[in-house]
Amino acid sequence: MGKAKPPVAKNIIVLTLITIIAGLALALTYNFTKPAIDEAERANILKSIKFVFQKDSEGNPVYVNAPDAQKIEYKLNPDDPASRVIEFYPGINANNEIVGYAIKNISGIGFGGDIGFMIGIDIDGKINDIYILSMAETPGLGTKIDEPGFKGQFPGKSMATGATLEITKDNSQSGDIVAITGATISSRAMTTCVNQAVKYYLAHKDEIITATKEKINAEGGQK
Amino acid sequence: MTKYWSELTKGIVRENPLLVLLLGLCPSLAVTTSVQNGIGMGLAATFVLVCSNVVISMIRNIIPPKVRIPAFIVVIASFVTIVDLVLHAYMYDLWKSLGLFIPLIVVNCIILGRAEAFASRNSVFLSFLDGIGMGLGFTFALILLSSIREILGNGSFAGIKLFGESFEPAVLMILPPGAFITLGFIVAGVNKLNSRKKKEGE
Amino acid sequence: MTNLILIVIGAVLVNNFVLSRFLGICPFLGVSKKVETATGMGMAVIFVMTLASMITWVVQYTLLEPFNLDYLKTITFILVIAALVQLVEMTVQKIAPPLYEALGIYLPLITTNCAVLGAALINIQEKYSFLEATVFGFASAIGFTLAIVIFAGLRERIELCEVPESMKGVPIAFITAGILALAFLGFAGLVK
Repeated sequence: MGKAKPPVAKNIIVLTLITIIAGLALALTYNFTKPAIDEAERANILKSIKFVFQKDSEGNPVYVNAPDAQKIEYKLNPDDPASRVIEFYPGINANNEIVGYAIKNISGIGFGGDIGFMIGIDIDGKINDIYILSMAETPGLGTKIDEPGFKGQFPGKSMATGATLEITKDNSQSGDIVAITGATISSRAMTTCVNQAVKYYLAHKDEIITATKEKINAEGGQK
Repeated sequence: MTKYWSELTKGIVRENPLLVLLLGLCPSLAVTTSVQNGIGMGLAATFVLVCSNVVISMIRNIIPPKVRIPAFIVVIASFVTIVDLVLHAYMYDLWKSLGLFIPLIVVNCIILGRAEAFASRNSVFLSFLDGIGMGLGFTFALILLSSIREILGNGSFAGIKLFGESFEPAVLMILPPGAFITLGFIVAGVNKLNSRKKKEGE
Repeated sequence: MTNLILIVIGAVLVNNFVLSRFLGICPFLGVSKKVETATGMGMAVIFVMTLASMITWVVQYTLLEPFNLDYLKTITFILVIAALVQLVEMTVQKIAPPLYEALGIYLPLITTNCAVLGAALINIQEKYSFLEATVFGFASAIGFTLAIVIFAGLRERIELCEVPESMKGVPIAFITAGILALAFLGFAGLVK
């Protein structure tokens, strides 16, 4: 390098320039795509809520509100600042009554890591349907928890009497949910997660409903 | 003209990045559990490859050789982040299923390999063609690998069930061992073809 | 404490970086012809990956998150790793020239070893604490080393075997890796 500047300085300057330009380009893209990303995330949540809620005879969901606006969050373990959060999305019908909740709960014991569920229940805690928000289970095995053969076992189940959904490995044993052959871990993760969400709801039902009503009133509530 | 054509097509068969040069193995093995994922990964990598090849070729004369690699990586990482953001915003489902492997396009050896071996030595237009050829070759190899794995391991192609209920899929093919074994046989097949061609040439 | 032990077993055996997460395949194939070089590569990866896990964790939680710059994560992490690798390269060259000779072009290639970036990203994704992140980085690298050393041992033996012409070299290595992955699949369900 027969240049006037020492090579080290040139190295640093060029690299810094490239990094600055790259940083600027990324900041621009980020600002440009941010609204669309938020929108896509929100659309996904709304889609899942719509999916898990009870429908009327024409297939429309029974709620008329925007459930994500009245979301309530709780820490599963209030003493731990890093605790997992359970989210309740209320569904409110045209008469301004709470018809049920979509509960977002995350299972930390899946085979491929966390699995996110949206669980739809009516006001008494009876399961309506379940939507899987995210999972990294083994395709063809663990991903079968999203197929009707397994997932279809949940709707209609009720834990109002304080029971827990029990999982079994085959039909001959007694149990509420039959696990998928070869994917017991995923099956159990889902069942445990659903149990946890519904039990949390039943145990804190009054508190959750009061909080929802407060949210509605705070917004002026009436539609 | 033939020169351009040859730069474009060499990546597809003769120097296929995955099957012949054995680059970019990690994403290839990990995401090829379904054909959709294979195509998505292939196209995302192609986009990054073409963009980074072009930019690196443009700035190849101002980069001091000592900081070459970090400079290339910065360029590549920027394009990967852009792909990540754009997919997240406009193709949410694909973004979700490719997961961790989008940021990992950064370390896909194909891209740095082409930057180092080709784009830093050739004109912008040739680098552009090289990027497209290599990208398509990579995508093609991913489709081949994922088709075999999805058909055998899940009994479906691009999510469409091919066989009746009685078909019992060989789940192993979708699990990690199946990825290695399938790729092993594909590479063996490519070797066989190449050696036969050589014999004919003699 | 149990938490940390679970992370270690998970990263070394159950979700082995190479054989189940498919991270770090390039060096896994490239430097596994001899047990000696494989061990050397493994050591380099252990060193780089543990340090990288620590540094990227600090960068994430002191710089990126407070300033809302999460989208710069990929580019920042890869630069940190690249700088770190450069440092290791210079150190090895000074301290152990034979090792440097043996690892040849693969030392700079740790930069593009997706295992290192992968570990850094998984640490953030799983919201590990600093200690957990360090342990995870270290254990994952141990898992990488374990896999590559076993694999190199197998390949040394295969060299002496009769293999069909077109299966020689890489194809048979892939199939060996597949069978090794199958063996590691046996660890599934050990944790969780």
